[in-house]
Amino acid sequence: MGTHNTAWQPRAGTGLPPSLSRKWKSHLWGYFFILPNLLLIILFFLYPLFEAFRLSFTDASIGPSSYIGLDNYVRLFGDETFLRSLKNTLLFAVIIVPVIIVVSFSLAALMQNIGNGAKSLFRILFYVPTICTPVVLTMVWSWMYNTNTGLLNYLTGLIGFQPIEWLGSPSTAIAAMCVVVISWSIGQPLILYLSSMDAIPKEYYEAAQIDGARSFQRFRHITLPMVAHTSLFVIITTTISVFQIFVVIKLLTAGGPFYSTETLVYTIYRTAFGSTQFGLAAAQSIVLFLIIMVVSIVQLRFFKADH
Amino acid sequence: MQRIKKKALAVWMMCVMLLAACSGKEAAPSNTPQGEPPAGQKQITIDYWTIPVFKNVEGAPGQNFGDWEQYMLEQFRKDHPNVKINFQMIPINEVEQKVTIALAGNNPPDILLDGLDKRLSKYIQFDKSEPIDDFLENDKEDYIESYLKPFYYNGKLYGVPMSINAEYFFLNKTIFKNKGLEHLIPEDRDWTIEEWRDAMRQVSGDGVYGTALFAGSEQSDEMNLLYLLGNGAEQWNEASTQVTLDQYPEASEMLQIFNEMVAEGSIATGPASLKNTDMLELFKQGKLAMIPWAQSLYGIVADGQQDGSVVKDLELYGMKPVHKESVVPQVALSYTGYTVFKQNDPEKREMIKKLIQFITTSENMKKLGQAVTRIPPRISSAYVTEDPDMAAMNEIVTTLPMANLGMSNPMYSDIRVLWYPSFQAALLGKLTPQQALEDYARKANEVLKMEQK
Repeated sequence: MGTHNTAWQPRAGTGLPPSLSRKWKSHLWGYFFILPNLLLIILFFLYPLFEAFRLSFTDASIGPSSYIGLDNYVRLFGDETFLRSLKNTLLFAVIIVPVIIVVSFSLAALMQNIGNGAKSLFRILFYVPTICTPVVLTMVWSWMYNTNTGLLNYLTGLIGFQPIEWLGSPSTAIAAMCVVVISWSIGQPLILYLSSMDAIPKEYYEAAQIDGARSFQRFRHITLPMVAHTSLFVIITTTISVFQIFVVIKLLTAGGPFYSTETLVYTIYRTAFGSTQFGLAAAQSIVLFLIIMVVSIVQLRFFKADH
Repeated sequence: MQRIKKKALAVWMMCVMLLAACSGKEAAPSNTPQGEPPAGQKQITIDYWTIPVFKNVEGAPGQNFGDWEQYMLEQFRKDHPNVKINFQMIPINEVEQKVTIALAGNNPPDILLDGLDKRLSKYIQFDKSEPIDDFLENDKEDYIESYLKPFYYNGKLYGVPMSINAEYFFLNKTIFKNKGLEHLIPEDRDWTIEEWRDAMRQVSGDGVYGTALFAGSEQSDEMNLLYLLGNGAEQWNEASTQVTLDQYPEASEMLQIFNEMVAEGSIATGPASLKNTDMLELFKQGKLAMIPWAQSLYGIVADGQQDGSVVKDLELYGMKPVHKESVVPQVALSYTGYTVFKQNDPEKREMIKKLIQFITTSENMKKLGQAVTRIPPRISSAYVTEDPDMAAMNEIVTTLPMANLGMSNPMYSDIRVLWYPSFQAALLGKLTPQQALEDYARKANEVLKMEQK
């Protein structure tokens, strides 16, 4: 490596050293390209976030509002409906997230051993619910779950079962909701796992095979570690989306029976648009935001360290 | 480098154009021509929001929801070329949310046609509604006083009713005939609770239920509560400031009867998750012998028998709400009408007044009532219905007292959503009937207390 004169010499006309001038110019173009998106993020994410934070300290409704300090937050933690919603949301997350991970990963692993044509077909079939409107999917499920005229009770009736109140009892309602959410949520993780698995060099498996590794060992020591980053991404994004479940609650159970399926977002919706208590709803939103943030950070730290 | 700069500029311009295309106020559907106002006249823009209520109205160019209203707005515009009217129809299940957002953003419509009994008190509480006593200055005497009364607050009128939907019970007479149980149908359209229960038990079976309950959503209050009120309970105190349902053993008694009837198969399975539309669907398919509904059911069944969504042989028979022997049955009334949000411009307010008066004529109300089988609020709008059953029920309804469901309380919509979870708990056995009522009353009165503070 040759030496070169490192003495500072300003480039003519700029007052900056030549290397810095070039660096600034390249950065400038970068900021220029991201500026539209940055403006959108500020306008549609950061500004509403700060406004919600501000609202959470007021008694905002459709009339005039005034500052009430931490009253909304204090009220939240004594509100049995809110605490129950929080419990339900965590329950959904604990059930749905692992099932989605396991099912999508397993399907992706199984699909490694089929031909490209069949793989494409299954890829489409599993991904179609992801691109359908959740409202439409939920309406179809509501007809299927109907106690008196639903498809499921018709089928179970053929084998001698009495009509089941799929959405009418807390335990079956929770399970029914989980099935709906899982059915349309496995598509995207599946695609990500498939891509991730396809990217694993074949040579690794060949080398392991030569060394005498059995299929389970190859799976455990090659496949699993190589898709760890994908798993981390899927876990975090799936957890975030489960925490924000709303459409399926609104259309299937309205939070019932007896609050057993009411989630945080549904409570926020009812507080804001049913009771028109925007300040309280903002406080609930901020709490939800903090919960999601903490859970995501914990997951990131835990799974990254594990990896 | 020059090439990169040009490409970057091109990308930047594309982004700006995209943003410009996506931004800007979404043009509300308007059926009024956008011509220039005559010289010297100020352009007035009126935002008119409505819900899908009126269809098949005589004289309308189309038979869909909103056709008649748009036609009327167009006719008004011809006489007032300086007026631009932005018409918007909102689904019924979205109107509360949409209007709430508009009010919060200080951007409400000028005129709203909605179920006023459910939401008007809230708008008034927050001083968003405009008093409109002068809108009826010429023909107030033509309105039936009891139909105007719900829209008065502190002596001022805030709404103009367009149609009234009385809620009572209906039998599918055909089911009783087919089962040889026609003798159970009372000629005076009146059943005690024991007679009703016995009839429901006898008519159930072979894929038919006596009736259904629905606790699956917030709409489960009105019609289901009629049973409790018929048994002698009262949901509210007289001033509608306190929920009192838990203080009446008759209420828990009726909930217990419901549970027993579900167990014996007289009431359709799964009431905790059933919605009112599910119950209606069962009735339309001929699987329910009885249903509590509004009198608009006459129109729903007539239309449905033409388009095939209702079994052809369904014969409606109106009934008073079932009641204990010693109790006078009550009917619930739901109102659809106009409210006007606060106006700062006197000229605009005057134009809105003219528009409302143009629409709410006696002739128009008669047409609307006939189209959707509802009661017009004006004496001169009374019409003779061709349906003898509806005619008989209209006569009966005028003799029955109105149920107090607390609609005059500003917190009505907040209280309403508290009923169905407790109702579900009672139906599922999670709480005893009395515990469920106490749970409901406690939560409701807590909300009322907070609001009164």
